[in-house]
Amino acid sequence: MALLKTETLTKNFGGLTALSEVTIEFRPGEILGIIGPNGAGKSTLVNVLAGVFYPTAGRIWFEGRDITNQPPHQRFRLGIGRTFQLMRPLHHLSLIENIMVGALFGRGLTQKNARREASLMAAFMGLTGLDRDMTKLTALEIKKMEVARALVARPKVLFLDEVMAGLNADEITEMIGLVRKLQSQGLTIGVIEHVMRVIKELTDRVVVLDWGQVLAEGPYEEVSNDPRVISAYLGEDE
Amino acid sequence: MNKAVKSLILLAVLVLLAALPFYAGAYPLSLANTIMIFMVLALSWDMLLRSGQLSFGIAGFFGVGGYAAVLSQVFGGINPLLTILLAALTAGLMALILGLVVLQLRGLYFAIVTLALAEIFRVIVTNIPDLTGGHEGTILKSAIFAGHTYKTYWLVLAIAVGGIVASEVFQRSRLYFALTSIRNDELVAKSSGINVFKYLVIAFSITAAIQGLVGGAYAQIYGFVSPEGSFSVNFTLLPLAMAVFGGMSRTWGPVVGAVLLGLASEILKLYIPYGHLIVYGVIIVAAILFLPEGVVGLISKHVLRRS
Repeated sequence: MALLKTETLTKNFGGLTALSEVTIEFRPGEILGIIGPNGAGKSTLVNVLAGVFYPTAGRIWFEGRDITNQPPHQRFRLGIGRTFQLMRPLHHLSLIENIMVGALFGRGLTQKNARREASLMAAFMGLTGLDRDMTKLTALEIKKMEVARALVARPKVLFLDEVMAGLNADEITEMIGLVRKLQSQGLTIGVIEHVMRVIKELTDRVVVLDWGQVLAEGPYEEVSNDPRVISAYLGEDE
Repeated sequence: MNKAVKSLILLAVLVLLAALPFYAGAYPLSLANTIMIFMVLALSWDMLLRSGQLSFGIAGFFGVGGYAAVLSQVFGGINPLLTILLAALTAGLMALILGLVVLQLRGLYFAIVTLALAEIFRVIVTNIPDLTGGHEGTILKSAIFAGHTYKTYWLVLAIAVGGIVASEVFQRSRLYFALTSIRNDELVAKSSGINVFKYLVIAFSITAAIQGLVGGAYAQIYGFVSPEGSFSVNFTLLPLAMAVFGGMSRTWGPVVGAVLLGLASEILKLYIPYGHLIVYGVIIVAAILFLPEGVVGLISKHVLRRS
């Protein structure tokens, strides 16, 4: 059974259709890549799944429950975690406090327990200098913090929205290793990414979005040779 | 500075303040009362601001508290001290109910609506003269403690200590994490399990209850309420200036701001009787321009740099 699935999910912004009857599923333990050209609706999909936007039509199911009308904070508590396309550190909180937020409100832990869990998670992610100000962190560290903030709530599915953007080749390799480690622990992961190397190396399956619709679905090798996918990325020969 | 030394200093200050009536005259006591009353209002305003919500409604809940205290004594014969608690309860409940609607708004829209609320409260009490005394307001037969200076001072001191404790609870509990997250990035907050609306309603209600409590005490101390007096814009603007001057988003900012501006206002009044408000205004503008983190922010930055 799918851990998370959507049923003809549609999202309109005024006259713009960002998602059109998207039906996809996340199988337990898999890494699903979500790719597509700019404006295809990838981030909108994550935002609708995380509850930031409510769909115009269609339904979302998580562990067999209809969560279509659940607010975002409830979905996080149920086990849907995410990072953001643009880095969003809470700049009046220190590094450790940023991570603690996920444990405090995602799992309802006390401050003492949240601090302990957050420092364990920071160690797992390879983060040090936990009392640092967020302005003192590198891009890689902020990305890791965002992953840690989601992970510390023990999610069942995690969306990584362009988590590799802005990282150099070595840093991407390090991130890929971390994501693999998470999968080996049973986490289901949705990867939204423009860096094709990441999609190729990490994903079990790929969903291609174009103009808000599912264009293709399958293993990377299959999808990347699909002429419709190639023309969506490169434009059609007129 | 280690914890024990800090606690000892705090305790010493508290003892000195509690004993103030035994070595100070009536004038310093009344000045201390005024400063502490504005201090708690400044703290309550800052406590809500820690969630990013800027309120101009201090005078509104202050006035509501004042009326609740005076009217419940006049019509209900309730003990004056209890009426102050009732004032807190009334203002808190009103904020809870209004908050369900008003807290759908953010930023400037929220600020403007809170300003309007204060005005609406004033108009309402003015227009039900049978209950409130209309324009003239309502006078109590006697001020609280029959005007006993010492007892009145201790009441205000207790409220000030309570306000500081409440502010520290906001800074040390999970509220701190919730409100700071909401202030920094609401999208991250709600995506991290924080029920944003719930925490905003909590913060709005508690801070309004504090403003109501102070309003109730103020009305009991001076023995009357009136639309112009109880809802005066001074109860919004002065606390706001004190918090900005002292430093926002920390307990000691509004406390230090209230003491410094409170004293400055008294001294200026002596030297330039009619121009003191202008100088007062200049100080505040200068603070906003040159001390973005307030006096306390400046001090803590330098102390931190040295250690």
